Amino acid sequence: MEDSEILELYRSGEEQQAINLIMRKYGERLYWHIRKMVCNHDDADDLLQNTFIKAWKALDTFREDAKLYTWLYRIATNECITFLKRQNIKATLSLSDNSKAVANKLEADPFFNGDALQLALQKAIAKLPPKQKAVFNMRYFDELKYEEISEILNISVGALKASYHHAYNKVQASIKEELNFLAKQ
Amino acid sequence: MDEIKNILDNPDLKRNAFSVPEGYFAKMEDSVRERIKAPVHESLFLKYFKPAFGLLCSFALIFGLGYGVLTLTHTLPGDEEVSPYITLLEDEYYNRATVDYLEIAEADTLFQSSYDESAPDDEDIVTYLSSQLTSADIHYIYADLIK
Repeated sequence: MEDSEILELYRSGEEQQAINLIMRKYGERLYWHIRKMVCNHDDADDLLQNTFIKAWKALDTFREDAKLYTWLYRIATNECITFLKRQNIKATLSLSDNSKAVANKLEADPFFNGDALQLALQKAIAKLPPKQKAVFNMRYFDELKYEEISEILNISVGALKASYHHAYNKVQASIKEELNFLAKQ
Repeated sequence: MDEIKNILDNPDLKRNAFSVPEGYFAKMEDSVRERIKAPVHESLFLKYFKPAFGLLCSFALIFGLGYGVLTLTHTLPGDEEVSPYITLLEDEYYNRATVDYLEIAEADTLFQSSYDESAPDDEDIVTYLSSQLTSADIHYIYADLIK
């Protein structure tokens, strides 16, 4: 079903049915985007539910200037960035290293099936600031165009390119460091 | 080394390394539906008194800040405690005032004493008059005085 038909359904009063269709159509893609941002399944589940609740409450304000998926992606990304910032603040206040905590959680996570290289990648991504992490994930994993990311994050394409380039180098350097460390052991 | 250098180009890294519990997505839809259907409970207190409570808190905050500033700057009315700096200034003022008064009083005394010293006594006056006036002049003045 097309987005315009779903929105028509919502406007005609079939709100519940419209949100069901949106969840069925975009739920999985949004979940994986959120999961790559926060790594943990329970956190991703909470954030995905919050995303749909917020979308349901604000759907009548959606003016179709952007695609429905872009709009949902924006809500989900903002939820993730807020969540990660809070986590960073908590970690700073408790004088602990957030990226190390994420790595430890991943190693113990039964829903993480990655090898050593993928674990090193996730550890490196966890060190990025939330917004840069979002840019890196959207470009590297989801392979979105800069124009699409620009629309979601409301950042200019030039700034996004610079941010991605910077993040790419940081992640690469961090993985190298991790692999060298593992080789020495 | 090149392999390490271009490590992010490795397509295996883009493979999804995460998984979800079985049947998660169907359950997730149910969970969202339940949360949407669940009425939002807001207590009566919050509903009716929240704005008034917010206003009260704002006033309390402003009053607290104002009191804090006045306490810090020692400008509260009736405040007995005076800062050491103010005390020092007052002492200096009183010292200066006393010195000025004493200086003035001393100057007056000096003026008075110098005045007294230069003033001619009766004997000097008689000597002066007798040297300057004739006996006829003295007689004339004396007659005028007893008139």
